[in-house]
Formats: sequence, C-alpha cells, structure tokens
Amino acid sequence: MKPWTIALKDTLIAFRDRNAILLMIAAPLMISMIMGAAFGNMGGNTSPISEISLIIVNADKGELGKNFTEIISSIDVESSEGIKPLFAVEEYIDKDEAIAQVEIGKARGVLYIPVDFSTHVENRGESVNPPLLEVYTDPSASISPGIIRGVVQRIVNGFNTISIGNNVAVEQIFENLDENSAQEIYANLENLEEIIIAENESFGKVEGRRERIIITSKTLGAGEDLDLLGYFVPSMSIFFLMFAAFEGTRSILEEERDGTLHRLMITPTSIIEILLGKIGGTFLTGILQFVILVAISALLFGVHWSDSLLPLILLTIVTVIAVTSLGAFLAGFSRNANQAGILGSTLNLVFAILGGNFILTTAFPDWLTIISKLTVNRWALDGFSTLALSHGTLINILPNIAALLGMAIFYFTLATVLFKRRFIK
Amino acid sequence: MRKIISIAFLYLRTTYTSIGTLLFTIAMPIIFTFVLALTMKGMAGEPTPEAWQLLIANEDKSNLSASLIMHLEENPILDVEIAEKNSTLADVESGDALALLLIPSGFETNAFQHDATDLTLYQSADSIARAQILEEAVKSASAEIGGSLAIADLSLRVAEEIALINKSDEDGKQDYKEEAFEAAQSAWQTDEIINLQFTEATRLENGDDIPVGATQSSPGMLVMYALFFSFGGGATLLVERDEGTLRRLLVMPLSKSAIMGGKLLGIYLGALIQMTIMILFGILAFDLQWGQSPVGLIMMLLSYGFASTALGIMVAALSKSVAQANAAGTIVVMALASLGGAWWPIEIVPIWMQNLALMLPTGWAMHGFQDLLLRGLGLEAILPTAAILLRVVQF
Repeated sequence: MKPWTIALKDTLIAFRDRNAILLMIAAPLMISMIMGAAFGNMGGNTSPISEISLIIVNADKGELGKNFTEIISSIDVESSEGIKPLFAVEEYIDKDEAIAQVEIGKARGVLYIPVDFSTHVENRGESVNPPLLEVYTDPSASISPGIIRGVVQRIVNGFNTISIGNNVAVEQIFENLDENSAQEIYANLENLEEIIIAENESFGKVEGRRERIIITSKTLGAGEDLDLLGYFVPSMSIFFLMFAAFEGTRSILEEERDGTLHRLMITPTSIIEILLGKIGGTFLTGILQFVILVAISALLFGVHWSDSLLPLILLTIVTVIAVTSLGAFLAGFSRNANQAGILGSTLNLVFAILGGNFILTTAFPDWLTIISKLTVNRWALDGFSTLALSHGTLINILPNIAALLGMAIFYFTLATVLFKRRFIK
Repeated sequence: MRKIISIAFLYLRTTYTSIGTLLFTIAMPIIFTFVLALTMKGMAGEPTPEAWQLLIANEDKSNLSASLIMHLEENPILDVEIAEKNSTLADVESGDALALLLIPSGFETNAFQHDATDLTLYQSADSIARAQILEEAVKSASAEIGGSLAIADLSLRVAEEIALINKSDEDGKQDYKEEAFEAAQSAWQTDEIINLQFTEATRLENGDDIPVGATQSSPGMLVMYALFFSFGGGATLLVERDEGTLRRLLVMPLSKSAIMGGKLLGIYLGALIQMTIMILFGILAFDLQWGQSPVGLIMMLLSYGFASTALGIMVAALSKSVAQANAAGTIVVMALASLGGAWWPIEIVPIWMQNLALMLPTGWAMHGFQDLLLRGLGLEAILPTAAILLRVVQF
C-alpha cells in the first residue's frame, strides 16, 4: 500500500509539471509531425521527389531542341500530393550563368542543348562531330542527379531510335535484295523515300511512342501502404519515454541529496517500500505517458497502432518496465543526481541513434545491427512497427516481448544489488 | 574588456572541467556523425558518385535479357548483381536490398511476337527515394532495347510496303524483324549520334573524392550540436541565477553588462570550440577538406556561432526556470535541426519544407557549409549567408 501511495504521488507531481508534460507529450508529437511531413512523400507507390529545379539552355535553332524541352517539361509523376511535374523547368540563354546557378545551389541541374542539335540529328551521317548534350548536376544532391541522368538518357535514346531507324530500314532492304528479287520490288524502291517518310509519320505519331518494354514498379515492405506517423510516433514516444523515465528514477538521488529520502526513511516505511514506490511511480508515469500518446496520436493524426489491443498493451507494459529498470540501474550506478542526469541523457541519445529512433536500422552494417539489438529502443521500436505497419499479431511480437522482459530483469537485478549496497547498511 | 574576457574564460574552464560537457561536446557528436555517415554510406575512401545496387532476377535467359543486363551494367551509377528471385524479394521487402528487377520468362518471345513485353521492378519501401534513381536507370536502358524493337518494327513495315516481305509469311517476317533488331543493336554501338556528358557543377578541385554520407552528417551534426551547446549555455545562466552565483558576481566591482558580456562571450567561444571539434573530426575520420576557402569557413563559423548563441540566450530569457529552458531547448534544437536539413538531405523533403528551411538559421547554416564543402565556393558566396545568420542576432 505504501509503495502505491508513493508511486501515485510521484505520478501526480510529474503530470502537474508543465515542463515535464512538454517533454513527455508535446515533444514526441511535434518531432513525429516534422518527420511525418518530411517523409510524407515516401509512402506507397508514389514518387518521393518531384519539381526538381532544372535549367535548360536550348541553344538549338531547330525544332528538335524545342521538342526536347517540351518532353522534359511535360513529365509528370504521381506524388503523395497528387500529380506533379517531375521537373520545375526554367529556360536560360547563357550556359555559364545557368551552370553558376547550380554551383551556388539555386538549381539541381542544367541541360545544355547545343547550337546545331537539330541539324545534326536530321542530317545523320553527314555531320562530322555528333552533337554533345551536356548535363551539369548539383554536388550537394544525391538523388536528383541520378533522376536527371536517367530521364535525359531516356529522351536521347528516343531521338536516337528515330534517327537510327531510317538507316537500318534502308540498309536491311539492300542487304536482302539480290538479282532474283521481283521487279515489283525494284519498282517500289523508286518510292522508298516517300514510303519511309509515310512510315516515319506513323512511327512518330503512334508506333514510335508506343512502349515496347513496359516497366511495372511495385513497392515492397512496410511502405506498401505506409503510414509514416505509425513509425515515427512510436519511435519518438520511446525516445521521450526514456527522458521521462530517467528523470523519474533520478529523483531518488535528488531526494537523497535534498535529505527528503532520509526523512522518509525515519518514518515507519522501509527503504524497499520507498524504492519500490519511486520506481513504481516512474513506471506508472511511463504507462500514462504512453497511453496519452497513443490516444492523442490515434485521435488527432489517425495513427493506427495495432489491429488488436492485447499485443499493444503487453508491448507497452514491457517497454515501460524495461525503460524504468534501465533508469533504476542508472540511478543505482550513479554517484549523485548530477551524474545520473549526464549519464541518462548520454545513454538516451546513444540508445536512440543505435536503436533506430532517428534513422532506419535497415541501413546499418551487420556489426552495427548486432550492437543495435542490445538496446531497449530497437526491440521496442521493432515491436511497435510490427504491430502498426505490418499488422502483426501477438505471436509476431513475442520475441520482442521476451527480449524486453529479459532486459528488464537484467537491469532490475543490477539496480536491486546497487540500491542494496547504497541504502541497506 | 579584460574583465569580460576573464569571465568568458572562467566560464569555459568551468564548463570543460565537467565530464558531462566533454561527453556532450565530444563523444556524443562524434558517435552521431559516425553512425549517420555509416548509414548514408559515406565512409572515407568511398568513391563518388555512389553506385546504387540493382539486383536482377533473369528468368528468361535469352539474348534479349542478356542485352538488357549488359546495358544496365554499362551505367556507372548502377552496381548490377544477378540474384535469385524468391530470396531477393524477401530482402527487398525487409529493406536489406534496394530493388530487384525481374526479367520474366518469355521476355524475348513477347518482345518479338507480341506488341510489348514486361519487366517488373520491385522497390524497397525503406529506400523509396533511392529506388526512384534505379527506376529511371532501368527505364533508360529499356528505352534503348525498346528503341531497337521499334526500329525492327519500322524496318519490317517498310519491307512489307515495298513487297520485299510477303505479309502472310509469318516466319519470314519474324526472321526479318530479328535481323533488323540485330542491325539496330549494332547501330547503337557504332552510330550513336547524340552523345551525353554528365558533370558535377562544383568548383572543388578534388570533387570526386568527397565521401557522400559524411558531407551530410558532418555539417549536420556540427549545426545541431553547436545549438545544443548554446542552449545549454543559456540554461546555465538560469542555474547561476537560481543558485545565487550571479548575485555574488554583482557585488564585485563589475558592471552588469561586463558580467553578461563575459558569460555570452564564453557561450559564443564554447560554440566555436564545439564546431571546431566537429570540423577536426570530419578531417580526421572522413578526410573532409571543408572546401577551398579557409576564410569562408571561418566566416561561417563566426556567424553561425553568433546565431546559435543568440538563439540559446533567447530561449533561456523566455524560460521561467532551468527545467523549462532544458525542456524547451531540447524541443527547439531538435525541431530546428530536422527542419533545417541537419538530419537528412534537404532535397528529399517536399518543396514547402525546403522553403521553410530557408527561414531557419539551421537551414542557412547547412546551405553555407555545403557551399564550402561540396560546391567549393569562396568568401563572396558565403557573405550573404553569413549576413542572414547575423540577422538572427537581432531577434
């Protein structure tokens, strides 16, 4: 009964403190929203990047340069915000001025179409030097240059197809002709130019534009119908749960420093009851913090935490137990409240980056993945992601629950040993 | 002035004798920079531009599929690897692989006997932005093969028109089309009439040697941890107020402005030390040269140091207690760092967020540091950025 009273009092203190609420509730929701907005374009089968700023310097006097510009400007992609142009195209006259814009980071790329582009393409075989299209890309970007490169290459291939086509058609006819060929064929050859022009017109209008190889893109993994907030809200909730839990267990050392712990010890309350109350208060605060975050994020942002309640409740409980036990171990290990604060913040940030709270752990090399699995954050986050994104069941998250319970027992045992040494003489 | 400097140095001495400060200013930023760089595949010595891994499951085993694979292998931004479909699909689904291109059985037959043939590109949802590059590369290679198929169609139609091929002779038509396809494929190799040249628009002399991930994580963590330091500094002013040490200082023969000036100078110098540590770590761990303009770099450090200190003091001044300053500081630093592009490349966020970044000091700081680091710009390009950062001080 006494531990319960102490736990309840500590929980009430935590939830009456505006600053604590700021860190426990407002911060995880706000940071999750920023992450959701930043990566909101990454879900489903949509293209994450659109409106790439591209400058075209079309020095060509003919029609083909103009066609090239029109093709690039007309490419649309399906983004999370609907259909959008892949490129935000600007036209410049001066090539050096355009390149300077990329150099200073005002544009992601420049496409330079040379002066005699149309002439060279239309009079294939007669030109000495083939035209050179120049593409300049922003060195600070890692995604856009690859996209610009692919698109320009694809359009160039289209032009080359039309250009090569005529020659191949003619050359093949003459290769297949011999003295035994019918007179009708030789007669038709007189009209070959007209036939090729007619076929080319048809080719340009319908045939040439028809795709011979159809590429279907399919997105696999949790992002097929990705609810990014379903990843970021649990992620940030775990991160800020640690902040609150470490603060809660640190309060044992603060009470020791301020003398209130010793005052409590001279009341008919054993130190074990006091410590259980303090740790219980941290656990209760953590559970309430998580419940509020689940409720607010589900109501306001429509975050789908789990298909059924039981696995979510169990995972929440073991996560909070594991984090509280880790906090208790830190408090038992630290010499004073100040040291516990420093160690707690450090451990929180290290566990967060290793556990995947800031970056996806799938990008980790193998050795870092092993280290990552030593953190509470990783097992908890994997568990919540399984429930929220992969519609997992209790069976799917049993390894996570077992790992978190194992960590909780380990840290709590260490904390008990350290607290015994410290307080029970 | 001497008193201000003395107070500043006293502040720095007190700060740097704390293990907590050393952990937060040295160990933590280094761990963050290292792990982030690692996940962005940018360790020292890795070439740029990066080659993106594309797995191919070739179920057709035909000349056409081999030709497509050859075209893909020729693309320098791709690292092509032949794989088995089922196990690789699981890797793509789990995020262990970026993308798998499936060339299905019947790919060649469909190409020659039917109107079109299919390919399927499976992309990992975990790396959808990178997969967009692969999609464009696959489309580009397919456009060449598809172009040859279109040329073969054209050639056959012309041959039919001049009665060289009998329209009812299906076998003859098939052979003629295949011959035309081969001729077109050869023409791509020998007759290519439009050449393409790709160049990175950097003024750096050794632009190709820059490791990719570190160019994001090094300035990113520099920007974030300078803020953390300044906000921590602002909070220590409140600690001194609460513990009475500020009042004790006031009874000394020092003016209020000298005391405050000394404290602010201490925080500012601390932020500069913090940023210098990050720069040195970038040089030692990732071989980052931080551009070609030491004066530009110094200007960026001085101006961002000012902006960061001003923000730290502003949040402390608006807070009623140390706890509030710490809580608000954590949220503000994390929000500013993420929105400003310190955590991820700004190009991958929506346009409105890219514009928002340019309303924040962190966004301008990232812009300035990357101007130096990647674009090789000098002082004249940095000055406007520095001026914008100094405007933050006015708030």
